[in-house]
Amino acid sequence: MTSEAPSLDHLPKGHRFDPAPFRLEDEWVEAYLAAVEDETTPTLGGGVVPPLATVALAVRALLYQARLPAGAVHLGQELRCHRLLCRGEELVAEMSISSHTVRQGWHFIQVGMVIKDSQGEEVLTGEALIISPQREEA
Amino acid sequence: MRQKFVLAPGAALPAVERQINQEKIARYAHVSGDLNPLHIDPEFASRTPFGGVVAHGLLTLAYLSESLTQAFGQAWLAGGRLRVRFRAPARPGDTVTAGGRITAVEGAMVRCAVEVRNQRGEVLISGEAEIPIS
Repeated sequence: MTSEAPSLDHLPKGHRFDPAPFRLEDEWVEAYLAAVEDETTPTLGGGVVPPLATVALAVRALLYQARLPAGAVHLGQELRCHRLLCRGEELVAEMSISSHTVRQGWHFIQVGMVIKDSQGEEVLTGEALIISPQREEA
Repeated sequence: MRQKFVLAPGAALPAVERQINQEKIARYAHVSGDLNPLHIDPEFASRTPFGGVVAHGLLTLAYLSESLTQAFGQAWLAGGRLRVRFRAPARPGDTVTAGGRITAVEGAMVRCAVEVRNQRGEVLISGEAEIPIS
């Protein structure tokens, strides 16, 4: 996260983030599995990576382009896995603001996510609904 | 470890139980890069409508993903769909249980109602999952 990045609640519907490349680094996947206490996925072998790890890493890449407003809350999540993902894969997250409304003092922001592999094939798609309290503009 | 269960409507998904504490939330914040003070700053969080620190939604949702992995293995990881709402936050001190139930087996598709509850039985996450089986 950078202090120069705009706050997510300042971005309009239709805003497209720059494609964010990232890699499912072995060390990061290990740290993720430890953080979520996932003892099941490693038993499958083959270095498979849980889809929510990929989502978390894509969001981490996004946070270089937009700050999550303080007090923002995750209200909904959709995701679709298109194929198995494994450690070491090079991926690109393409994200956009698919909806942004303000109701009763809250921003409702839907962020669409398409994650592609190095061949440009979709491997994971989804959408997150994030809400954040409306703030007084400086 | 993966558990075997019957692929039939009504069958319960394996339950994944986890205890939430501030250390685990901080560890997830570090690995995810989501350093929202709502998750890691008790002073800030106490002044929000939540009244205190809450866990990241994607942390709690990861427990549900593990339940689906225990039930369906690679079928979930390679072709599953998940749609959930975060109804209430998990907080430090909570014991949460992720799981669900098969609602339908339609051809090569299994549909499930999924949820995460806390130790008081309150629903924190609810939704649906679809897993292709072959």
